[in-house]
Amino acid sequence: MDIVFAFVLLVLAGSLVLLFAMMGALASRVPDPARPADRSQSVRSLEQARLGHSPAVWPPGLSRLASADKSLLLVLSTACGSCVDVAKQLSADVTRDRAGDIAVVVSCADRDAGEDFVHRHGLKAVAHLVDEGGTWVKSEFDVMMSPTGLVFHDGRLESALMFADLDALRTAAFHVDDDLSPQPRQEKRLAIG
Amino acid sequence: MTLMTMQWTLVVINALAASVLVTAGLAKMVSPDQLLRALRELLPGQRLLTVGTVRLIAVVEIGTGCALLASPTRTTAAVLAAALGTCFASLGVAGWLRQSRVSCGCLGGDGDAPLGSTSLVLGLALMAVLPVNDLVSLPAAQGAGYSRSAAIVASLGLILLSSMLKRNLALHLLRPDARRTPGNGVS
Repeated sequence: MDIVFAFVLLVLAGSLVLLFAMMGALASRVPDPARPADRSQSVRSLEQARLGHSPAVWPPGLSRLASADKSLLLVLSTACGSCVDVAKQLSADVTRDRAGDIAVVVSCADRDAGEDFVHRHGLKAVAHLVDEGGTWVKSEFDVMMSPTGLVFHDGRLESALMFADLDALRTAAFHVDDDLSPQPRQEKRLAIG
Repeated sequence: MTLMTMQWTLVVINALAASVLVTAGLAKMVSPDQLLRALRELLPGQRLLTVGTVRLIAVVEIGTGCALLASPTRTTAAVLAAALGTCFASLGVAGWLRQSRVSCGCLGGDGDAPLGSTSLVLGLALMAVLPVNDLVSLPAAQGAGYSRSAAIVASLGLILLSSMLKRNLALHLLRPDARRTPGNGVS
């Protein structure tokens, strides 16, 4: 009798895992309101950025970028409308476990506003730095535009890209080609994330 | 190590291996596309890589996991688990050498690491199941006890592993503001 109970329990646990897997698959297929279809896919280089530069000292929240083979740092600002949209895209990716190796610098007038931005958009799970007045990102990389994606290779700034769509930025930054076709938009994002 | 301790070690190791295999298999059955992308990145142009192939791997994983929990089939299943582990470890090494960047979807988490060190470690852990099963013998009279204990431990392992892999989705659904705010949903 005990063994029957044990295997019934196993079947129930397996069903729960199956349900979780199906929920995950379903979540990836529902259209994302945070990703409107008309969002610009263009990614442009930011010419004035200090390419090749590597900060002598990384802030504690971003220290892992120094040793990462290739990483992406988003420069967002509390004062820019499209940064809110980017923060929502990133937040949705975090929810789906798709954020990948990404970090955020929140440029803000004061620390409270920056912390509030991070909290409001659920970015606490992402490595982040609240940069008062944007001083760090300006002094290190000469970047004063947001949203901007800074691509690092072994801790050195490889490129600075202005963007609106996080997927488009990832594709441009990492050059990942997805040869599966046809795939819905959300499925394609999986390959890039 | 006493006989009792060794048998419990066998139960726990086999049950954990079964949890990993069944979770991975079920995830691939539901959404095989992610592993397919990762494999196509490693082996471009390979015609054998189809959704059907990935689902076949999933069936083998689930079958092996379940067989590890039954006393009469555990030694055969241990050989299969070690073979699967060898494949995973090889793919991990290949992914590491090719600097794979596509999330492998091996365990069903969308944010799974690409084929690389994680796959290598998991593969090596599964390979270890074979020597453990060879070393520890189980008296025939304790077969039912082994199966019962292994099934219960594996059930616990399945639930814990699945909860860990889908924690972000679950936390998001449980967060009150996520339900109220449109546009910040699960989608």
